[in-house]
Amino acid sequence: MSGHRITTPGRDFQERSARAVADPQLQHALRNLDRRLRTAEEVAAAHPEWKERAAAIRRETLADLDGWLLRLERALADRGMHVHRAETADDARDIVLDIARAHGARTVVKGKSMATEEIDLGTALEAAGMRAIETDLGEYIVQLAGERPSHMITPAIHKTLPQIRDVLAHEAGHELPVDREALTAWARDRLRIEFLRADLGITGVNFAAADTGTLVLVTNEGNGRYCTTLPRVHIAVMPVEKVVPRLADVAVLLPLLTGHATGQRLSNYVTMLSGPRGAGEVDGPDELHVVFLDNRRRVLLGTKFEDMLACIRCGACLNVCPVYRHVSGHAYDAVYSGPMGKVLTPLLSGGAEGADLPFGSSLCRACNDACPVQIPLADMIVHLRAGTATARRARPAWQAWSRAWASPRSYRATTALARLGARFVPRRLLRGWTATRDLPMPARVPFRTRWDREHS
Amino acid sequence: MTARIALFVTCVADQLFPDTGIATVRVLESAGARVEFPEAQTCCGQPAYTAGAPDAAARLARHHLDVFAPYDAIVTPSGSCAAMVRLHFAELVPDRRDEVAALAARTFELSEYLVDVLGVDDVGARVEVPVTIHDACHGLRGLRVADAPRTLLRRAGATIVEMTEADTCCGFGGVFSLGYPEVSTRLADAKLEHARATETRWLVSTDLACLMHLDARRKRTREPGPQPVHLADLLASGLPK
Amino acid sequence: MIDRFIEELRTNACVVHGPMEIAVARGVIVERARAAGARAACNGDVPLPALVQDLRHAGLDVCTADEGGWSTRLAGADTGITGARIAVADPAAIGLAAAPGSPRATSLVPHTHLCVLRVTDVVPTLADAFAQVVAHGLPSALTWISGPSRTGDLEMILTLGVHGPRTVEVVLLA
Repeated sequence: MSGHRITTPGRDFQERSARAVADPQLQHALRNLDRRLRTAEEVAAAHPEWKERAAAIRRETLADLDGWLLRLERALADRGMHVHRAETADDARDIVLDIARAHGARTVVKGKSMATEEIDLGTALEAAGMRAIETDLGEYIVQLAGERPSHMITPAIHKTLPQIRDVLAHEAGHELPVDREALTAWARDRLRIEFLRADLGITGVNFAAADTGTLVLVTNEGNGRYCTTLPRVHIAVMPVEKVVPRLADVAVLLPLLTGHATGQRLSNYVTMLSGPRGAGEVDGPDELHVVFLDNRRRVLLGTKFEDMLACIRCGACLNVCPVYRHVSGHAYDAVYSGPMGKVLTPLLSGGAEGADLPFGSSLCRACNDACPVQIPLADMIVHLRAGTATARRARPAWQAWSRAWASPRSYRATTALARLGARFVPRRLLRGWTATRDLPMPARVPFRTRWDREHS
Repeated sequence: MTARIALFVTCVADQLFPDTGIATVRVLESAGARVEFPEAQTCCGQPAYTAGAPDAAARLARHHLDVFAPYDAIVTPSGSCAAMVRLHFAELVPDRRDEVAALAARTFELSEYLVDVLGVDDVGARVEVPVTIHDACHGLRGLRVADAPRTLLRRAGATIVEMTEADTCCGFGGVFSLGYPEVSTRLADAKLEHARATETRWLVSTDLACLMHLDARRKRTREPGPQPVHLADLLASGLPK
Repeated sequence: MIDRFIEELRTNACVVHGPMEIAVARGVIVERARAAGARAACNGDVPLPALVQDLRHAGLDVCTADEGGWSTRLAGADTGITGARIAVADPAAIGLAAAPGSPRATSLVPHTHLCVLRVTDVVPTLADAFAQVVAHGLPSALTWISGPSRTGDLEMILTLGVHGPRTVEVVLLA
């Protein structure tokens, strides 16, 4: 996507991940993830029954997604919000730009939102001559660095404190100390100026309750509250699967989301918006627009990837993934990273992007276990492999192999041949293994021969 | 009528680690089980399945189903191969749903079979050494086997020193180890580091593929640390001759 | 239930006072506001009679939403004083409803947020709280707050007071 510098270069996931594991600064920064791993696990372990309930709510929603969306649309409209439906990322960008232009917006403040990353909204706003400012501290750092978030909850997880200082000091135009409090204070003061002058606030949505017409936003810093409080216009970009049938369902999903995301029992701020500014109120937006974003989601309904729409973007699968924990988000070169990104990136791009991502998994199933809504991510990764050109090319070889091994006689013959040939296989064919590991050799006498000798 | 117990040795043990196959039989026999070896068995098809060739995998799944259908229990020294049967055969052979379900219900990883099915905690082995355990991914998260190997080792007199992140992947992952050697090796190194910190003699697991991977890395680096060993081999080494 | 509510708010780095009688609470609020600075912004939903007069008597510069120049004065305020419509014990959070006279930004812009809450408004769970706010009519904005503004974005170490208040004090009325 345009507008972002690729921070971990390489033509594919393999090359980028190899570079990532060899980057000592990145490896140092990533050790910080281990802390989150433990706290999130503790919270999740405390309430195992929540997962069942949450998974059931998400499945109920997906079973009639269009119906719930229609109900949500009516409820939001009843409360004075404007609903727009965007079929594609292009549609969503156009809708947002039209609203922004209609209000003569010049400064746009953005809350952290994966959906707006997905449609690369910041770039579109800048191209239309507006200043689009990321206001989540991590996102702000990443934006200033010309990069893309590397983790959906902690966007600047790939950076060490001295690196963050360098980015902020460059923007400040003067020295800043390598000190958390001082850097935070500087960013707070700088972004406050932007909040006060912004004409438009843009956020995502964590949940939207169809029964009450309520948008739920989960934040910790307070920037999301600014984006929905001070600007005259607020646009919430909501991927269609964010709908939940009832506000009561949010009581189940919310602590599960925050527990898995950060280990918090509840996020610091939970904002429930049920309309624009009310009569007689002095703050809150005059207009509140909600953009329903499809972008190839509803086509997944009824397929074996439907469950992926249950995802609540908590990042738990990233935090437990041994591959993610060593390569970090940029290696994926996609908006969504980690196990969920390996599944979602090819799906949302119709196979055009990230086709190689599913192969970069050891299929250890830690993601399946971590997922608070029980999405079988590792199994989806295997299913996605089967649909790739790589797998199609290899299929004749696998077919030949399986034909041979479906017969005990040819199994014996081929393995006997392999035993003889193993010592003569050119090492370069096995370089993937042998560059860092010794090659195990077949036993001279296989198990079955020894069994025969002992039992005949 | 006595129960018929089949050894599902796996292609990896058959071709690369036959000693572990022999050890598995010895351990099962010392627990009172009489084991048969269905000679027509080959491979469960997992390599093709995970490579994205489900048709090829299905062919071997059908063969596996035919070979093992007559047995009351199918026991294997690989959590991963047992998980293949239990978790993925249903999807590969949808037209034989009942047979698959029946086979899946009778297929067990070795330690799981001993402890949870036979109720044998003590196989009569003495292994009075400090050990650490790597919970192989598919045994742990596919079959939910975590306590059984520990129970067996403890009853055999071993002192278990748990390593940090015993439940984290060793980085093998089949084709992943060939396609992503840098990440795969980094994971193996992390695992070996954690194992080394326990200052034990053996790094025990219930999956030969993980052990093969860790041992191959260890041989290359020549770093000290506990020797990777299959649970069956370690227990068999402590059985009376 | 109240004990665990208080304990969890404290774990979340809130300062909790009380539960106490209204007469005592008036003094505590004045004292805490003065400690935070000379300028305070006060919402209309604070369940203490004549609080604004109390604060002004104590020499504080107080602004309210029904007076002119609110947003400018709020931006310069040291303390935002609010009531709460409801609170949840498990997980601990206070729920602030936007209303005329009770803007959303009072609990957001100043460095210190003082919230006055009746213990009788604390309900056990999120489910209870949501059911109650729906029954009483959802406000345009309902903000649940469990502590001072925070971030983990700098090497995943907790840092307080990013955009919202760095200090949150809850005064409980018996």
